[in-house]
Amino acid sequence: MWLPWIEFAVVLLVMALLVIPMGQWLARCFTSEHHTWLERWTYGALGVNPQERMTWQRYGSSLLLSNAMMMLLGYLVLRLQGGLPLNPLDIAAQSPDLAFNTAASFITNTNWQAYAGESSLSNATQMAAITFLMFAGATTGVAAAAGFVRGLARSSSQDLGNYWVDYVRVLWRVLLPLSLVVALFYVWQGIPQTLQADTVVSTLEGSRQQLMVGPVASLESIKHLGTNGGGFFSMNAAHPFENPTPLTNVVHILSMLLIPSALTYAFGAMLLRRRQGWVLFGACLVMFVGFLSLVFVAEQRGSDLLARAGADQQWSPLQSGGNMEGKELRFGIADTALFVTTTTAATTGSVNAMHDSLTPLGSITPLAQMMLNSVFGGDGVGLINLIQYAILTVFLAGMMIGRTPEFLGKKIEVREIKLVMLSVLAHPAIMLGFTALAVLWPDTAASLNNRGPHGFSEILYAYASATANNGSAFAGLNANTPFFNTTIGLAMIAGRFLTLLPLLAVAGSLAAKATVPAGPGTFPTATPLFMGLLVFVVLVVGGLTFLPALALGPVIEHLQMLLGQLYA
Amino acid sequence: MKSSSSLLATAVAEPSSASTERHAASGWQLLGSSARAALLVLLIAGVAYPLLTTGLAQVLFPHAANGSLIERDGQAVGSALIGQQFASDTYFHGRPSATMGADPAQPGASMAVPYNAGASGASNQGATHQGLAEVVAQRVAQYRAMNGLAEQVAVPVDAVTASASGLDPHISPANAQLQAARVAKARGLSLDQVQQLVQQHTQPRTLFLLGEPRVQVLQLNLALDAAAPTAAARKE
Amino acid sequence: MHALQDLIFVSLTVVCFVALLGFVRALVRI
Repeated sequence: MWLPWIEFAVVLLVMALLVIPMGQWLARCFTSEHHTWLERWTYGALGVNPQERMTWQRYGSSLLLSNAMMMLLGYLVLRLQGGLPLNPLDIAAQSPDLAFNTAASFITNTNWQAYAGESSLSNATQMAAITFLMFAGATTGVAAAAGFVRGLARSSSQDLGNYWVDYVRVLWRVLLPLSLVVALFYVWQGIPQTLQADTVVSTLEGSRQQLMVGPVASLESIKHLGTNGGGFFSMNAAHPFENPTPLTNVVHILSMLLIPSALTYAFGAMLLRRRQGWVLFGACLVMFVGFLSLVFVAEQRGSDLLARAGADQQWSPLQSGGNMEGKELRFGIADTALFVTTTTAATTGSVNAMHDSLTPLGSITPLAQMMLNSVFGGDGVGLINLIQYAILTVFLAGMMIGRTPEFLGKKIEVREIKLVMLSVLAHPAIMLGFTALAVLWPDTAASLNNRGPHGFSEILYAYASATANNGSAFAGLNANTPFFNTTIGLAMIAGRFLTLLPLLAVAGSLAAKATVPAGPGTFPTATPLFMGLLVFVVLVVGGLTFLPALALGPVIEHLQMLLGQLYA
Repeated sequence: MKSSSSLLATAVAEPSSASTERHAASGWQLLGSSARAALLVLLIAGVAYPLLTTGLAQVLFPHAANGSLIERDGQAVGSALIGQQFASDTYFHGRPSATMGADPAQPGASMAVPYNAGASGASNQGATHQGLAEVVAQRVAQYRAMNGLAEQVAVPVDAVTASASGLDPHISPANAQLQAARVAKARGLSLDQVQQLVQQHTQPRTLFLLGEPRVQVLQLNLALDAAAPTAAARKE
Repeated sequence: MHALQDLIFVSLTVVCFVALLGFVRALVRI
């Protein structure tokens, strides 16, 4: 029974080893003075001047406007599906509210899908809307991190860099090449890549089986490298065509963690504070391992409901045992637990098992990680959120020892704390506010798949996922209603930008300050002690904010499961 | 010789004033650039990239790129990756599948259609769901009856729970072993022969660490058909 | 009636982003 723990250790070790080359590459992308001819052509095509230096406001406005245009273009493509080629099954376009939700979802890197891919999208839209927006949103996040880190590194300057340069470089030098290579690996392992829509076979028992196919591998690679998460098929990475082997499963996992973890190193490299980068990495790793243990142990222990019904959940060399409802056999319990933890830590949101069928305690891992939003986090924004918590930690420590807080050589003053708190509070306000609204809304009950506390969890999960830009779901919830489509769409947009923009302002504010040389009174932030404090602050601030909601959902459900209470 | 880290430091620091320009482009120009960026990314990432990948994939790995189809007697009988429904006692059964499909009798309504590859699905039911408790108990009873197990014997969990995709092509070795006796009897084979076939179609963990030992049901059943065709198949 | 709904959701999108641009301006003054 120690085999899963060895597997976890090996996978995390590989992840850690990849951090260094990837981190160095990212740092080089963010700082190099050299533009390739392809990039120069792109700047010309966009009509932008790569030499332009931007203030944080300019940077943020460029980010917003480009995202707005991309979202509108995505909406247009989705609504025009009927008129586009590559639609042999003649699937109708999404309704306006669903298209709004989908476009908002993919541009904010959430990838919440209130639709089933294989039955409501044609191959044309899977490419020209979904794959397109996956790149668009992910690139935005990484570019934002570039500007943010640059702001922290500069002093007495207004200059955060150039948004277009960051964007174009991440696209050409990072996401596109990696996605292509990984996609071809995936095809080799069995993930389809064709322009055909379906293949019909005649099964051994004589019935007709319609296999849906399409350009899956090209979507799959950017889905995980870009911490997107939207599946080609409804059942996402549980579908054998999106995740056929344990090897593709582990490559999915490593892809999801690659950029978020590497950014901690790139941050350290760009600020010449490598140990600080490792401290951030360490904090995330500690929380990750904690949550992984929780979901693995809970799922391996199994569901009392299944035990009472006569199922054998005992581990043996011949079966993985555990709670196998809503799980795939080739992944068993261990590989599923690792995927569940990774996808909600990196706010990707793809699933290789149905989270709605996780045991109550097991479901705390995905929920809590989405609520905390800083266990590695999504591409770009994960690092930004983590630094937000680091600033908060420094502030709290500073108050306790009675000194002006300093972080990375800059004084943390009133303005920074106001902006940080704005961002910190926006997250739960959006999440819990919309949840409360939905619970009171009359039609909601009809959308639930589970009743009782698990039903509440379905709604809470939806808004947690939307606000954190995660995108996974307790998929029993029927979220394709105008109410949910609109409110979840708004939650995704608010969650993304109301947390990102104040932090860009913080970067701008810190860039304008002069560097304070480290003195005897400086609180050291590149130490294991700070790492521990950081984890503590994340858990306590997160815990205090969300514990009541978690109590109403998973905790009560666990107690009821033990008692054998069932809901129709 | 400048070290790489100090090179990085100068790169991050404020660029020389010769190349600094205050933004001259107006808000409208920004909007224009944004619109062009949207179109450009769509064409590059949403059209060129997937098409290029498709071209390379079809040339390098055509069998995999088109769904890993398995053929028998010139006809496609399934995909090596996608499970199928098996109900006859001459075949090994796969895991329960919760996929739904259109009801031919009532247009617009849906009914349970296991292993419907046109619409992957799962139950999404949790640990306090009454419906789940009932259906699992039913499956347990059916499994015991079908495979000659005594009352109160616990049944392998994968045999009575629905998979996440509804298209899971595998079962656990424990599940396969308990079905072997029934299949051997139905086909007139010895238990040993059937167990050998099961062994041949059991895949171990990848690299000793990843995944779970698993039995590929479709390939096992194809091998069974080849080794000991049923009376009905022999008549064809 | 889809034309009206399209108008509603496109307008909603535009309003959201215009509001966010305004939010950027407001942040300058914090």
